[in-house]
Amino acid sequence: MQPQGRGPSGGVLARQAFEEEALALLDRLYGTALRLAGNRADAEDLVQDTYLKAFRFAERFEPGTNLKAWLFTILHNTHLNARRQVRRNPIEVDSAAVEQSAAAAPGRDDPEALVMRDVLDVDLKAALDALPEAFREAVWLRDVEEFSYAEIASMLEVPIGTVMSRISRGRRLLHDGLVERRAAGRTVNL
Amino acid sequence: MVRCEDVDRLMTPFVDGEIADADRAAVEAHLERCTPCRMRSTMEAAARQVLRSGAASLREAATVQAPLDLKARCAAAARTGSREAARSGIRQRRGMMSWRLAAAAAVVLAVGGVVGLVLSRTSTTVMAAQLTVDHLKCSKLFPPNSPSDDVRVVEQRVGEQCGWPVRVAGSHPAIGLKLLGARRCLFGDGHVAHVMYLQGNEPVSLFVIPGRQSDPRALSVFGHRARVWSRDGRTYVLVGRQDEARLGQVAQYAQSMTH
Ligand SMILES: [Zn+2]
Ligand SMILES: [Zn+2]
Repeated sequence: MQPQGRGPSGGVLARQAFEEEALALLDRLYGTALRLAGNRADAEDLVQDTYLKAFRFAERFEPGTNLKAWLFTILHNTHLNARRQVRRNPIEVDSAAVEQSAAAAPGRDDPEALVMRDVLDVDLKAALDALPEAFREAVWLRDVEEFSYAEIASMLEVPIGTVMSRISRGRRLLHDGLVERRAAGRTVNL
Repeated sequence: MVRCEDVDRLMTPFVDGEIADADRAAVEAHLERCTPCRMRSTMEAAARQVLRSGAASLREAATVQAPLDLKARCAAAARTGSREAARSGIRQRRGMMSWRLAAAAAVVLAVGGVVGLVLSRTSTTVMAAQLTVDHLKCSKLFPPNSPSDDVRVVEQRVGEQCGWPVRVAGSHPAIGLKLLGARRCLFGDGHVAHVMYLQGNEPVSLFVIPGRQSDPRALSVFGHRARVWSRDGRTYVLVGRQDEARLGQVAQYAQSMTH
């Protein structure tokens, strides 16, 4: 919750608009919480904690900035904190290992790999789900939710440079996954 | 001369088109000469393209209808101002459970014997959010198969349940409105009269709350629209999924009938 702002000042109506807008995003946050937490009970706790904090710290929200980004930041930070309490810094350990393995992976130079039209939604979703969490989250926040690098950095609590490299590697891993999926599909079809 | 390591750092902003002009020229010059980096930028751009064109359907697939009681608890989080909630609820799960139960009970369950409302701290939005949850819950509990056209009977029954007189607007065929009935529902620290209608096939609820003042408002919450107004010491909240115009008809009619 880094954002420092005047909050939804301007009285009751501004506060109500803030609450209205925040509650309207509940289904989006719940979907994300399910993805992060992996089960309904934890996802519900995560969402409820997020709203408790959002309403409690409403005055820190800078009016006119991206409320969705602010709520996603609280959601992700709450998730990270919950996980840190279970295991010490599991995220950093996981992703460092994964980033190394990704860096070591041989580059692909199959020209067919570059033809990415006609990718089915199911294939795209499956390929995304198959990415290691650190990369999936970075790619998702950037290309699906369209947050800025800085916003993603504060959500994931990593430097901007790390955000960019996760996006970059995540996209390339996704590319390879889609190409493999397509090759597999073609073999079956023949 | 730009090296591959430098390009590495700039690749994502380059692909995203969020790179300074000077840097872009340098990266482009490098890609001209360096096949691995060029290949890499092509892959990344292709994946980005696929993701962006699939983003809408990915977002849709990832949007999950949150359970009603979670929605009610989140709306209640705003209402409590989160002081007690934050203290007792956030850190430990035990505390969370009791807080959740308390909130759920306050919002949804009938406790009985609680009279009088302390609503001054409840914002209109939070009120509408909680009543929308009640609207969804009650429309399921009470299937629209037994419309009541006897306004007097409905008024008398719900008035007895609530302990204060409730004016009920009857069916109005001109706007496709059918009165189904009314019941007492729990809200905040007390209860409200919940009058249920159908407009066409769409359930509509009119909540009558004693002892609260609110400026007239139209707002939307949880995919529903709400109209709020106060008159003669009562606040009325109309909730439904209709478009603005259809719900407006009901609001106008209800306002003319209940005052
Ligand atoms: Zn190079
Ligand atoms: Zn009800």
